[in-house]
Amino acid sequence: MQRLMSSPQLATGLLLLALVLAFSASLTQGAVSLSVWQVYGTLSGLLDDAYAQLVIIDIRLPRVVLGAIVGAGLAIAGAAMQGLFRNPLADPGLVGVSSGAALAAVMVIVLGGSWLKQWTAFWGYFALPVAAFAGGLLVTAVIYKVSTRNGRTDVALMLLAGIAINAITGAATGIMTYFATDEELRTLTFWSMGSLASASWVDVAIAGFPILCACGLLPLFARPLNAFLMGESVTRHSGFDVRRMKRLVISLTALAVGAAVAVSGVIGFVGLVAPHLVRLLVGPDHRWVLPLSAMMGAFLVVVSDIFARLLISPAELPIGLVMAAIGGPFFLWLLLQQRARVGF
Amino acid sequence: MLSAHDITLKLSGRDVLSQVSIAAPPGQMLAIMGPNGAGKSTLLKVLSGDFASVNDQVALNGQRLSHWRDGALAQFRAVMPQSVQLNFAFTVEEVIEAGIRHPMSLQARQVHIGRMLEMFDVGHLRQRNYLTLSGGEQQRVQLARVLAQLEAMPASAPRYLLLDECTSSLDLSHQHQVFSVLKAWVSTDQSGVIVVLHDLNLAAQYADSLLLMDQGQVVKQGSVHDVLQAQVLSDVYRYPVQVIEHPAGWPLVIAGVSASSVCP
Repeated sequence: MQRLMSSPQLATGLLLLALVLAFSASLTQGAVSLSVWQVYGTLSGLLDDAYAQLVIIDIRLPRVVLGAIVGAGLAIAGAAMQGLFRNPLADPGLVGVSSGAALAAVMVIVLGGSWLKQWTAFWGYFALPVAAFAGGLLVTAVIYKVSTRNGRTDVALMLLAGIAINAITGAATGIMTYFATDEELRTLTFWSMGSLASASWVDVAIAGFPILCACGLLPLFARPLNAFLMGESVTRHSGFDVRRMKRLVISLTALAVGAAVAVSGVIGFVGLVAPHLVRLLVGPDHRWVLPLSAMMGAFLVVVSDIFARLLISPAELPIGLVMAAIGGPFFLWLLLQQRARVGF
Repeated sequence: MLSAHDITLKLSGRDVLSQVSIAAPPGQMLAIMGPNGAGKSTLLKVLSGDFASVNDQVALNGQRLSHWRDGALAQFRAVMPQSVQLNFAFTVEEVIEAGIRHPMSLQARQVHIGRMLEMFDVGHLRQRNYLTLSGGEQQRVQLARVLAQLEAMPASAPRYLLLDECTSSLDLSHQHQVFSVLKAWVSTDQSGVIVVLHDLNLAAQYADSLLLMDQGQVVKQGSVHDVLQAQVLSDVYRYPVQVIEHPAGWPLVIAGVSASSVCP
């Protein structure tokens, strides 16, 4: 059996360690370099350094935590979606769920003062995340409807529908730019390329709850998702409630993607690469793939964010660009390796 | 008893089944036979509850399928489809495990899976990537999976295995090995097996009763000797067929020779 790790427990341990290292690196590195002692001294309260406290508690920590949450949400959503579509190519970005969520967010930004006044008045601070969630849910439902016939998901249809939806949302987002003011335009760019630059504890709170919900609840469907890889009827005949499972997994996926997009814009590739790496490590059993993908996604986003901040310091790149620049070639390399293997 | 009563099913405007009734008593193996497109697989799907519109006319152990919950139903009937599409590199063990919903302790599950794999002679493949197996090996693993689903907990009532061409890729010895296992399970467990089968001679040797279908209708139902008649088979398959007595006591079907030309 070609699996890199014979024991999933070992893989979990290594991923945890990698995550701690990435956290530490992200907290120490940046426009101002801090020592590991400054970071952990400040966090534990042993060190009383007002400057370090400002940099760490108010600037870097919310950003790292937000990055980890967003990465975990996108990756676990990707893993669940790939199980649901029974295809390793189903990524929230690729099939248009992220761009649907982003379009909804952009509409709230641009039209919030005019057409969507009632919406923003009703939801208040949550107008944007709720809209992003609704956008993501709508696109997921459309993709699933279009690409599934007789209980079988047609992959070509799914990807084509994704291209169509990405084109539609792209056009709609483009139209929005004509109505946008200069300030709104800057925010729009942020949505389309993805960024953690404006991370705050409020963002952490907004994205944290739905994504933790998704990370906590999706693994409950690991066993029906395993059966689902052999087909919808096999799952039903094995005694699982397929309709309930599909409804809940679709909603939780949209919830996680919507929340992630609401605070960080569109960060592609995490939902595709993270579950893929995890399957290389421990195989396709969802009981491990779902939680480990969340950890892997958190790790990937935190590391990419370090590069986003350091590469052209003191300015910074949108993390979506970094993720695509590293993730794209890496994924190609993986596909080349894949040719020798059988299955995903 | 697993039975369906007076099933008529239209799919995309075409009558796929018309007025089909079938009854599979416990302790017997029933083979559904007939030419391609006769409606055999559709009938098996009806019996497994895949068509919600007729679930009221199908009953398992005296209760209509529409009244069963998915979880409870899975303890009393398991279904092996004609083909299972899998894109992900599960091990054989994980394939078996994925079909077992009933919670088991880790150790009990290990033993259970091992026993089921051994029954179908695939114990040595336990840690192999399912996707690298041959078609016949995959079929035996799927057989182990569906039996493992039923055997995961003790039965309080007769259980039914529905198998759609479960030996189509198997070599000669494994075909007979699989049917011997199924036959033994049927009689010791007082359970039922319903197979869709193309090989008339396998059916003649192992089945307790046969159901012959053509164009969505039941042509003949009864014991092996009743159904395997040269004239009936020649008509249904539109091909000359002769039936002689096998030395071991069941009918032997020989195709390609008309009954009149060979009779001494």
